[in-house]
Amino acid sequence: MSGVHRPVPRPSPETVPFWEACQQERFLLPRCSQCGSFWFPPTAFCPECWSPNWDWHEATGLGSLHSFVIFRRQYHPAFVTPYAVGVVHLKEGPNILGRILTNDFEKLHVEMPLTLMWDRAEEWVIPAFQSF
Amino acid sequence: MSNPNRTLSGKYAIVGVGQSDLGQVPGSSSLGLLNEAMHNAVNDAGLSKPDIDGIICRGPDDVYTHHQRMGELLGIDAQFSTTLDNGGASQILSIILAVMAIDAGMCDVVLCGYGRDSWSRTHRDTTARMSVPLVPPEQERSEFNAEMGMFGAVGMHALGASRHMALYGTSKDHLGSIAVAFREHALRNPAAQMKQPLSMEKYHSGRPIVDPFNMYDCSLVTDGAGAVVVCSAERAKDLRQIPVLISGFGTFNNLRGWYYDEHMTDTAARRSGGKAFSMAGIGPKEIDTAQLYDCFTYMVLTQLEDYGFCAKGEGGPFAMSGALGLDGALPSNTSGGQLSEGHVEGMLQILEGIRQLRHSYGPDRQVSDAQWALVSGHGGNTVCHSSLILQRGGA
Repeated sequence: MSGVHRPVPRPSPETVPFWEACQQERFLLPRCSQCGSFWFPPTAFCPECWSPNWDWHEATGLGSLHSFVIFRRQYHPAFVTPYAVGVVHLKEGPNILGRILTNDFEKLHVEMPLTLMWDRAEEWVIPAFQSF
Repeated sequence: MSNPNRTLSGKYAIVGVGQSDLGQVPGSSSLGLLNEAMHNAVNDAGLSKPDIDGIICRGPDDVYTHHQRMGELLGIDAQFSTTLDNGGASQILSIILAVMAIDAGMCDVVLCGYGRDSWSRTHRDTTARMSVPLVPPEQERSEFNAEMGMFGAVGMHALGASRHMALYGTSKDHLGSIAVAFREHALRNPAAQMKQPLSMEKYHSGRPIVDPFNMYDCSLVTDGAGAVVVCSAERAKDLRQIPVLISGFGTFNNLRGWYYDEHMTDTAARRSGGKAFSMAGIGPKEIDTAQLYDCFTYMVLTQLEDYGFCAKGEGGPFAMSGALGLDGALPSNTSGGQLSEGHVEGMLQILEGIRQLRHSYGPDRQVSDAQWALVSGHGGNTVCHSSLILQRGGA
């Protein structure tokens, strides 16, 4: 489909390092040096204790399915329906949105274990999830 | 947790209501629709232009100075005016803010309203349907959204329904019973957009949108506006209509987001409603009719639980029992709601609550001897909530 482009991220200054790591297939989460919390999306201060001291931590990519939906109506020409989108509860704590890549929607269920995989689109490498 | 000041309960009233033409209004504009609704509300109250000294409103997301434009159209310099930004929770918030402003001595009589030409913008023809976004692109999240295939409010709310189904055994029949009940109400409302009956069989055959939602789980796309006039209950005694007293209100905003913790199934309605009940000094059992923000069927189901009309997880069976019908335990969205009357971001729910308490209708639409109404507002794409408890005044 020439001329049909997938939407791509428009990173903020706080999220540039996250996306740069994704390009190298590394999944980084911010972790607070003061209270130990992980959070997402990346921000300048820890949203739990407001500490400015934190670092990027390579996450396991493991999680469970918090909830999911299956798009049937086509909203964007580059996203061919049906496809699944879910919120994944990461082992480290945060909940994150992502595509759930599967051809068998019947097998999707809340709380199922998932693992990270990489979804390539328009020169971008975007985190997605699949059954573990 | 702080609760609103109980001395404000019943001190202010809604004295006028108005709406514009509703549904598909070709050639309409957001500002023009709201202008029509605001004129109708002031006329309904028996007031006139010099009485109005406050304006609080909301319009489409691409108009950033809505109250200024409305004041200009109405020819009013206001002592207090502003535009709100809490999505579908803004309309009740405008009434709350009006009470706060009047009580603080900032102004005396406030016009609150909302209008948008949503159908004309996005559904007037095939081109508009495919190419015109309801929310301007610069207002959308720039990352962690569309690149992952998430588009629009339907997908977000469907996530909530999907989790609720997994946690509590909620079914498509449960969601469908809400759509069917509100359609039945719309058929009694000549102004409603939807004119055709909806059976459970027809509901299940609806065009899929985002599972678990099909088209009948989703509210309508509507050109329309609604407005109300707020002033003191003391002043209301001299006005034309039976006053409807503002007995309780509350707000709560789950700003950490829909994905956070259990926000999808334990919504901001719970704490917003708790504040409103506390202020009014009543509980869910006293409510004669509820007008709930029904952008999607699931939001009604979770609000029935979050407001305490039934236990968490029991919203589906409660709706299936027939409770939401005109003769049910909790007649709800008696004008057809946003699912079947028209989607004017909660403004029509406020108007319907007031009309029920005025006993405006004949027996085919009137909730028998309605004294208390609950109205809810939900928005900001899932996280903002506002609650209003109204009581029939006079007597």
